[in-house]
Amino acid sequence: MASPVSLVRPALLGALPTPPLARAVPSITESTRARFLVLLAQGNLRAALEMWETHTGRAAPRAAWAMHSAFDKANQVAGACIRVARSVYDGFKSLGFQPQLVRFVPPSQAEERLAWEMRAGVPQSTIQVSNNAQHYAVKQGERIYDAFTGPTGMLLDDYLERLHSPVGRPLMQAVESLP
Amino acid sequence: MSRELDGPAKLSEPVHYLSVLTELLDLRSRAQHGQPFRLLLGSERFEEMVAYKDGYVRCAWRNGVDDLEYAAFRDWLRDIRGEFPNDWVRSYVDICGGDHERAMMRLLDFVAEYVALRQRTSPPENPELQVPPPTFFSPPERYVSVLEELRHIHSNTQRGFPFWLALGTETLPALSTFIRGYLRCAERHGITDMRWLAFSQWLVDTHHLATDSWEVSLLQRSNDDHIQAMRHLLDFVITYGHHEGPP
Repeated sequence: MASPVSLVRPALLGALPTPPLARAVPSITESTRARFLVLLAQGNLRAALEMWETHTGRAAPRAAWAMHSAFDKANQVAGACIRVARSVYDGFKSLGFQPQLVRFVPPSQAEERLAWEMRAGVPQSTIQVSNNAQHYAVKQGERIYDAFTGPTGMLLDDYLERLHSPVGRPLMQAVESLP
Repeated sequence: MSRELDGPAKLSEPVHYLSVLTELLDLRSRAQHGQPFRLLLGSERFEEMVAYKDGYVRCAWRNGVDDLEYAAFRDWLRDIRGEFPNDWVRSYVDICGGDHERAMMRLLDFVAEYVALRQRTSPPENPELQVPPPTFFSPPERYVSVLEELRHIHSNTQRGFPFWLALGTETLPALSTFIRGYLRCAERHGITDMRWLAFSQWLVDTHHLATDSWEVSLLQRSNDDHIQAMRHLLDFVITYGHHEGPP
């Protein structure tokens, strides 16, 4: 009879994120990924995807093109972050990256508000991002991506200069999945 | 106003922190016995009750405690019960058809449900139902007054940050219930905020603003502009600080 552990393991494995897509698309090289990120950092998702297609000789996955609408400014509102993070995460995965889902929380767990400074250095431009104690985003390499960063992404330190809570700088937590 | 101690410095006995959940359950009980929210909180609006709760946990935070019991409740309500969405303050009022009193009771009923569930479930089924280990509130010697929190809010709003970041909303009654919540937290831990009392007296003596009517007076002086009225009050706190000397 199977031990409880072996009964549990398949279920746990099933709950884990899907295997890295890089294995399924072996022709994606490190240099393709690096060049993709350079073009993305310039804010040019379309050029990055076209370069990816040229280098790999295949059409970019639909999930990758969907990042385009995830980064739309219309998503710069409270309540959209989970949908955006899912889309950006899936997009990176489909291109052979290993993104990390992250969650930003106020430094005091009992606090609930997070706010984003729409224009850097202009506190008057701050809008509410969350009042239920969490904001989700995606970390790929050194950069954070969400609707507010757009396709260029932002370095964590720069990102945390713009994200505010009532009691100081929010904290970033790695998470396994989205709610 | 600095606290004077008799003889050699005596360290107070540490006081266990009482979560805002306890305060919310008390509020619920009093409301169920017919006491109106206007008397209990000084407001009948849901967002201003939330500011009261925020004031309470802010006092805890400034005095060495993160209210993990409240955080666990909130996580349960959000992740398990599915009743704490983004923009939950507005959604509670909407769900209750604009009836703020019902929205308040809705939140308070969730607190009661959570606490009852926690008591029934032993051992806890999930982390949200575990009671965090006890923590200690600052002793009176190290108590951080609400005036310090107001100075912090003043500094942030002077820099251009909106009032809602601190208060959740932008009305003078929200600032007022926030202060009440802060003071209530201190009171529950055996501390009277002497600096706040001295400031209140100074408002009466110097600006003829009685504590029980300063909301009305400040709004009149600000032509019903709530942001302006809040700025007036915070400016008074700063001006008073110059008279008060170092804390």
